[in-house]
Amino acid sequence: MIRHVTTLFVAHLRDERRAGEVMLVIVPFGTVALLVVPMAVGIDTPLLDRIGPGMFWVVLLLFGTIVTQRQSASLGESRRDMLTLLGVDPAVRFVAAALAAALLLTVFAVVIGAVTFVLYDPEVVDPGWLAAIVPLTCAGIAMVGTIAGNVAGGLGTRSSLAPLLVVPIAVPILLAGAQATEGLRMGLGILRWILLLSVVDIVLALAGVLTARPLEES
Amino acid sequence: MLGLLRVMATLLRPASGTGTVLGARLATPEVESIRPRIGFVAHDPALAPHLTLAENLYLVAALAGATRVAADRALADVGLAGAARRRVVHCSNGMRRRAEFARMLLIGPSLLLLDEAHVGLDPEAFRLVAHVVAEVTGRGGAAVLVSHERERAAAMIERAVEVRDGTLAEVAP
Repeated sequence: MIRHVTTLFVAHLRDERRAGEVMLVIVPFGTVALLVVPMAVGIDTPLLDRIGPGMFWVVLLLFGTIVTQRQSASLGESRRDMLTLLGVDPAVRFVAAALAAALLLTVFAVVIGAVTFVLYDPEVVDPGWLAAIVPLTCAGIAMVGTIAGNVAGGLGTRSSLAPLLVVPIAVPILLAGAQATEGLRMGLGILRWILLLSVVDIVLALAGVLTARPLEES
Repeated sequence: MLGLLRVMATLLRPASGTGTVLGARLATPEVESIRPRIGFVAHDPALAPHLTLAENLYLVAALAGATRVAADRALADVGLAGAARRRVVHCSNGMRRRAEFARMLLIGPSLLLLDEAHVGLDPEAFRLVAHVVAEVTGRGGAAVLVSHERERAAAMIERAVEVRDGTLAEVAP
């Protein structure tokens, strides 16, 4: 099972690296989206410091939805059928796709995070915590997106239905991430938010693994 | 016909009725064990577009427990050895179809299901259909072909059926 996950995970990333949609399209557009607000409000440093983390999370949600949808949509019906006939468990496919989406989303978050620090200069008391907050949040969004892709898979309305499923469920994850970064900014304790993100990720992972087969067979 | 093939491939539950495939009853957990023995080539190729033909076959080999050497041999058998490093997006429909046949040769199914078996193939590649079918039936397996090229299919089939008004009717091969 681990061998199958690794094989599919590597194939997902290789396919994405060659397609270049995340690194060559989504990252630049995400960066431009972050650039718009400082251009609009000028050099009002206190205001930029205040809204910087919020802008980061909004851009992560909007473009993250695209990243996760791109990942789940890349597997068409023929390839799903092939993997099923090769004996690849649907749960394995979920784990591989979610891991690949989480990694891509984390890379995206690191890039736009760096841009946020440069453009908005937010004050963060202990930035080391970001190494936990960002991957946990990205993993949550990636799993929600992958589950939504499985739910909407095979439907003609997939491309419009899947984002509608992702956003409402991803918003609480982002709220936890945003509260955690706000806690860092204000010098408050953030352990409860880290715990909340961890619990949500575990629940989503279990939900994804347990629902993968029923969703496929339905 | 694609729906019927997907039912036979155990990928789709029959809306009504019962049936067995390779001894397993459809729509029961029994189908799990026979799925790796089924080879299904749909009209749309099951290929990752940005991977090369070889990488696609290596992926199948890794998941099916076969070797890369066997994957290279399968590609050579269908005449794609020279294009193995070409990405799928840069391949013609005929090459993609050949790659699908290479996948069948690689996994060696007991039941081969080919949808629109002759579509997208150049005349030289028509013999590949017969080659893949012969490879499966030569091992005691069975092949089901859906084709509009009745004359080409006639040489390799034992039974033929036509779909008339939604029902199957046996006709002379």
